[in-house]
Amino acid sequence: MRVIFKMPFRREVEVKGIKTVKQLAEELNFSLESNLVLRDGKMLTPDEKLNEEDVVEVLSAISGG
Amino acid sequence: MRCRRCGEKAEIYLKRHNTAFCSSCFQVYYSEQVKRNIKREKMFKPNDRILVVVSGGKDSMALWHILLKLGYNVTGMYINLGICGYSDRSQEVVERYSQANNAPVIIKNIEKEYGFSIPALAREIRRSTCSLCGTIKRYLFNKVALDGGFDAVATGHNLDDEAATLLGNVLSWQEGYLARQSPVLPSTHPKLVKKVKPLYTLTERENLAYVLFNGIEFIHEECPHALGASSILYKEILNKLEDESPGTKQRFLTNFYKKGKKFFEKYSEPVKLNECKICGQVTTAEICSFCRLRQMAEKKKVDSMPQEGEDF
Repeated sequence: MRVIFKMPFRREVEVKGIKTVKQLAEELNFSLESNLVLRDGKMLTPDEKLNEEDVVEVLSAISGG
Repeated sequence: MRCRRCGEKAEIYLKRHNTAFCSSCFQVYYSEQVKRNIKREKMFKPNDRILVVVSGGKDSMALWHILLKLGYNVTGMYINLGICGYSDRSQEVVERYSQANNAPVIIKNIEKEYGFSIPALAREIRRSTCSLCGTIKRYLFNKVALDGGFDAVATGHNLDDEAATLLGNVLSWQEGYLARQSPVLPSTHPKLVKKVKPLYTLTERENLAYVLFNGIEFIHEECPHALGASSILYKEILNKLEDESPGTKQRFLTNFYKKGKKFFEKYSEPVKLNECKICGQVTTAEICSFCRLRQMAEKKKVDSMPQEGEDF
């Protein structure tokens, strides 16, 4: 599964064997409090099932300055 | 997960409310929160004229959209600060929204109207770009609001912003700031316009979800000068606490207003306000900081011009 982080800079990560959004957040150590996870432009809740062929976007909500 | 309101498939989970919503029910939740904030804090009346400070970022675009949707008389205002590329891209987002939604907007350009760009002047007078930027924005928003006869200036500060500011002020016990932090900054002088923060109980993530659900274009990227800002560190720390104990940010902020702030009131002694000798705007000095900056910019320009008879 391809995971694309957009902010603060674009970064791509390949992960295997991840079953849910919650597990993805734990695996890649990002907080679901300050990020949104989307697949095909649709927002996903933590219990959402993920598949090997998915492309998932992780959008950070934190802005500063 | 099911939407708490309609039972359809949920798209967003709000841990702090232990609830999930589909897109349209989330927007009902979102607008109820904004309406409640406006009413409880008496931010403005239905036919007041409101100047909304927009930067092209998700928070201010969400604020602009929700206030228009709630039927308020709203004008956006964008200041092009001359931060190369970033300011122009942000301005384009603001202008596209204004055209697409028939929403009036006032565009100000520091370089064109005052002859200096913030990063360049900050370097020349050895002052941090962010503090210079803050001074100039506060001055211009108030001046435009005053000249335009607006009843209030609304900014998109969210719960994460306010909790991070509070954390910073608590860590260094800034009594004066703790005394003055509020979702509403009343007008303390005929030439100072009231400032309000209608989104102060909504998280940064909820604002991001709101603009995404409404397909509102916004600037994802960060201001290049914001990287490493302490506010970002405080937000990350607060979100770690929020992860462990949902509702921490809201309790921290609203309970401070209810129980903590009163202990600092004695530190907010009224400051003597004068009118700037040059532009007439409000200042605690003789000449306001904006006019002093303009003078410095002018002086720097004169100094850098080749003097008569000088070879170059």
